[in-house]
Amino acid sequence: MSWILRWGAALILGASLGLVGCEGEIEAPTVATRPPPPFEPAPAQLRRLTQPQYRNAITDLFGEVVLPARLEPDERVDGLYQVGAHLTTISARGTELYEAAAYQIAGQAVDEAHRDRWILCAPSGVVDRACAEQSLRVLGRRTWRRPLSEVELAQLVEIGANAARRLGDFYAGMEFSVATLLQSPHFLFRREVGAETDGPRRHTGWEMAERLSFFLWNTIPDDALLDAAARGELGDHPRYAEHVDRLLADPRAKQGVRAFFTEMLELDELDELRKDPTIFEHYTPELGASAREETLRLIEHLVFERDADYRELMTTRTTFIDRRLASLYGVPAPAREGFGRYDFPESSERVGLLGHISVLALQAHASVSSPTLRGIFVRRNLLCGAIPPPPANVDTSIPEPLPGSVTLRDRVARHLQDPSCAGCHRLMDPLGLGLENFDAIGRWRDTESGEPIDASGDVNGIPFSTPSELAYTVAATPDFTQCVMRTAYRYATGHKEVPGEAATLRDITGRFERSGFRVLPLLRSIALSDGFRRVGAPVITVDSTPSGEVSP
Amino acid sequence: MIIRTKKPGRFGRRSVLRGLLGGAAVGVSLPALQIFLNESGTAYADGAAFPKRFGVFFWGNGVLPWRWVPQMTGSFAERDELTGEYALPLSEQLASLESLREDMIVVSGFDVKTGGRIPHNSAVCGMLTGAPLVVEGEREIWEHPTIDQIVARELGSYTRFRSLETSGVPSSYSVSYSGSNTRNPSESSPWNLYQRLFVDGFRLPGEEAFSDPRLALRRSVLDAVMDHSRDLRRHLGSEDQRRVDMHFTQIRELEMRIARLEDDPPSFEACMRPNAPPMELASDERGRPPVVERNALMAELLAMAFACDQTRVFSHALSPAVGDVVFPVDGLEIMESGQGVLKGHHDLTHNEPPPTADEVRNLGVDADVQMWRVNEIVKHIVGRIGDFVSAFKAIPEGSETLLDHMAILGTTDSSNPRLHSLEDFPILVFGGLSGALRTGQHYRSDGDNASRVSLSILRGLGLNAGSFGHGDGRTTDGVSAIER
Repeated sequence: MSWILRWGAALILGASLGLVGCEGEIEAPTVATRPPPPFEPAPAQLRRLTQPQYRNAITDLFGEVVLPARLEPDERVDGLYQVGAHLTTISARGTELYEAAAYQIAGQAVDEAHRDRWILCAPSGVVDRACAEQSLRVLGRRTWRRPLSEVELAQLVEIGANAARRLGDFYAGMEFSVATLLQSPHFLFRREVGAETDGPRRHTGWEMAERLSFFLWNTIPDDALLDAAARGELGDHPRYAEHVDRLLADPRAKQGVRAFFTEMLELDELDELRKDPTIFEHYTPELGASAREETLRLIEHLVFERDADYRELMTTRTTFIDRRLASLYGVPAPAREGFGRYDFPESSERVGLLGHISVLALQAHASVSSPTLRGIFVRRNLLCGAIPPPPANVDTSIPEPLPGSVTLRDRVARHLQDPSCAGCHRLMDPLGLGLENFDAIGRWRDTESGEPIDASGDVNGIPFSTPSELAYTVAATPDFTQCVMRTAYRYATGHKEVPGEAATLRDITGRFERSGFRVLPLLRSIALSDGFRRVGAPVITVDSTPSGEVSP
Repeated sequence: MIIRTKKPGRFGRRSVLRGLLGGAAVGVSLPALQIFLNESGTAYADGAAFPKRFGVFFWGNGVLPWRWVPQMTGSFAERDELTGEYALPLSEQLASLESLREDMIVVSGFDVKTGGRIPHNSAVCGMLTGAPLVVEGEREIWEHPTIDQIVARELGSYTRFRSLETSGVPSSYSVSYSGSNTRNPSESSPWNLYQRLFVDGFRLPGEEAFSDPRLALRRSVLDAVMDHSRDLRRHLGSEDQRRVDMHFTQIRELEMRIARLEDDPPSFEACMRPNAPPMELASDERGRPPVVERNALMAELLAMAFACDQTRVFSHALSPAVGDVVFPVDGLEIMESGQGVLKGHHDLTHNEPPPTADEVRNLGVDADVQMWRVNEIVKHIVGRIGDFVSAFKAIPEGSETLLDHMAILGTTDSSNPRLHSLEDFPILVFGGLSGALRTGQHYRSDGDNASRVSLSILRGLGLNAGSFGHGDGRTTDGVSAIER
C-alpha cells in the first residue's frame, strides 16, 4: 500500500519530539559517555503472531499446504511489525479470518497427503481416543510451543471424538481438534511473562524456545529446541549459547534474516508498487517482487556467504538481478532464468542498497522521484533518526518556484529557505537529493528537464557530491551501524528500548563493533543479552474509568 | 458517556409468528409481504419500524472550504419558494449532489475541537471518536471507539455481522476503531466482500435454515477457544488482559453469528442476492486504481447487506487520510521534464503549482483559483459520494427507501488540506433515520463542536446517548436544528 500510505507513514514517525522543531533532532547515540544505570528489563508483554510467522508455522507443522491468503493485518509501530505485534489485538474481522484459515488448514492437514506427517497411529475406529491423544500431544506441543496440560489435551481429544461421531469419520473429527489448536490464543499469541524461580525474573525455557525461533527463524521452534527447553537448557544454563549457535547455523536462519530486513527496509510494501506505465515501460506489477528479491539476495550473500561488514550493504558493487531488473539497470542479464550475480564496474554510481530499485522506486511517487521520501527513508530506516510532523495550521505548500527553476532540487530548495519547513526538511531533503540521478522507478539519468542533476548534499554536515559518495558517507556515520543494532534489538524483543536497557544495548554495541559489524554475531549477542532473556513483571494498573462507553 | 438504548425488539414476521404460536421456536419463514406492513408502508403492521442503520463515508485530504460551503443556509425547499426557482445551487464542489438534496444535510461551521498535533490523523480521530489522538513517542493511539463502533456495540448483536468495513482502494486501511489499538481492517475486494456476505452462510428470506452438523461443531470449538482465553489472561499485565478480553469478545460474537446461521434468515422484501462482482479490478492505462468501480460495487454490496439485514453498521474509506491516490480524472497532468505526469491527491494539496497562463486560457481555469487540480479531485470525490448514497436510495423499503431509514456521516481528515485545518470541518449527513433527522437543508454553525453532530446522529438512531466525545471534544448537546 506504499503508494497510498507513503505520506501517512512519513508523518507518523518522529512525533516523539513533538512540535519542538528539529534542532538537535537526532536521538542521542546509545554509546553514552557516563556508565548507564543498572539493567532494568522492560515489562512482560503479549505478542501476536505476525502474518509471516503464522504461515511459516503452518508450513512447519503440516508441510506444503495451501496457506490462507488473508489474516489479521499487521501494524507497523516504531517502524516494525514486531513492535506492533505487542500492541494490537484481534478484530472481529480478524477472528473470522482466523476461523476460516483454521478450517482451510485443518481440512488439508487431515487429508491423505498430509495426515501421516502428524497422525502417529492407525485409528482403530471412528473414535480412537488413544490415537488422537498420542498425536495431539505432539502436535499441540509444537503448535503452542509448550506442553499441553492434561485438561487441555482431554478437551482437544473430546472435541475430535465428538466431531468424529457426528461426522462418522476419525479424520473428519481430527479436523476440529486441529482447528481448535489453530484458533486458540495459545497459538495466536505469545505469552512471555517470565518467572521468578530463583534470582531475577527471566523468561522460562519454553518462552525462550519461541523467542529464539521467532527471532532467528521467524517461525515456531523445532522439536530439538523444545526438547532443550524441556531439559531446562534454555534458561540460565551453560548450554544456552550452543542452542543459539545451532539456530544461527541452520538454513532457517536465512528465513529469519530475510524477515528482519524485510521489516526494517519496508520491503513487504513492494507488493503494492505502482508506477505510471505510460512513463515507465519497465513497470509491471511483478517488478516489486523482483526488486525485493534483489535486496534480500544481496543481504543473504553478505550475511551468510561472506559474513561481511554490515556497511558493505551500502558500498558493495555486487548485486543479484533477474532479466527484468537488468533491463531497468541497462546492464546484461547475468542469468537466463531467475537471478544471477552481477558486479557493477568501479565507475558506476549505482552502489549498494541505495542503488536498488527496492529503495529508489518504493521511496518515490508514481511518476516523479521524491527527495523527501528517499531522505526520510535514509534518515529514519537507515540512521534511526526522528523527523517530527509539520506543525498544524501552517501552510505546507512548497513556495512558488523562482523564475527559471526547472529541477526538483530548485523547487524543494524552497523547503530549506522557509524557516517553518527548513528545521525538519533539512533532515531529509539533502539526503534524498543525493539520489536525484535515479528517476521514480530507479533508472539512471544525467539530466532533469535538460539541466544536469546536482546530487550534492551532506550527511550530518559531511558533504558528498554523487550518489556513491552519499552511500559511502552514510555507511561511515556511526548512526548507520547503531541503527541496525537498535532495530534488530527492537525486532528481537518486540519493543522500543526503555532507559533501563541502556546497559545491555551498550554491551551489544561494543560486541558488534569488535566483531567488525557483522550481522550474525550481532544477532547472537542480542540472543545472549540480558535484554532478550530477562523480563520485568507485568504491569497491573487499576483502571478507574469503566471500559464501556454505552451501557444498555 | 452513558447511552441507553431503547431495545428495538426483534421486528419482523418471525417474531409475529412466534407470538401467534405461543412463543414456541418454530422454523417458519416467509417473505415479508406487503400485508405485513402498515398502511403507510413505513413500518411493519405489528408496529415495529424498519431498523435504523448507520454508516461512515470517509475520504482523505479534505476539501477547499471556500468552494465547498454553500452560500445560503436553511431549508432547500423553503429557499425554492422564496426565490421561485428550483434547485438551490449547493456549492461548486457539492453541485453534483443536487439530486440528493432532500436526503442530505450539509453541515458547516463546526470545528473539530480535539487539536491537530498530527496533520490529518488527529482530525479524523477527533471527528470520529470525539477524542484527541494520543501521541506517545512515534505512536498514534485512537483511545476510544469511533462512532460506527459505538453504534455497532448497540446494534451489532441483531445481525450476522456486527459491522462491515470497506475501502475504496486496495488496502486494509480503515477509520473504524473499537478502542485502543483495535482497528477494524477494511475489505477492499468487492469479490471477497460478496463471498463473505452473500455466498458463505447466506440464505435469502424464505430459504431453509442451515442444518449443517459442522455449525454446531464449529461452535463447540469456539467454546474451547474461549476457555483458552480465560486461561491466557492470567499472569498478564492489565493492558494485555484487555487485549485478550477483546479477542474473547470477538470469539463469543463469532459464535453467536454462527448460531444465527441456524436461525431463519431475516425477512426483508427488498433482499436479493446481488450479481457477483468481478474477481479482479484492473488499474487503467496510467496505472490509476479503479476508484469509481470499486466504490460503486462496495456501495451496492453494503446497501444489499443492509437490505438483507446482514449488518446495520458500516465504515467505508474511499481513500486514506493523507492518501496519495491518483484519481482517474483526466486533464490533470503536470508537465515536468517534458512529460505530463500524474500526481497523487495528497502531493497535489501541498505541491500543486499555480495555474499557468496556458491553463487559464485553454481550460477556463480561474487565474486566482490556486489548486484547480485539487478542486477537480474534490468534485470527483463528491461524485463518488453521490454514487455511494444513491445505491442506498435505490432500494425500496415499504413506501420509502432504505436511505430514509438510515444515516451516513460523510467526513474527511482536514478542512483546508494545505493548512491541515480543523475549523469549518466538512460534514455531510445523508438519510433521515426514519424521520429523526431534518434533511434537505444547509445548517451552518459559528464554530460549535463537531461532536454535536455525532451526538444528534446517535440520538436519531434511538440510542439514548448522554454525551459524545472526551476532553475538549466532549458534548452533551446535539444540534437541535438538524433533529426533528
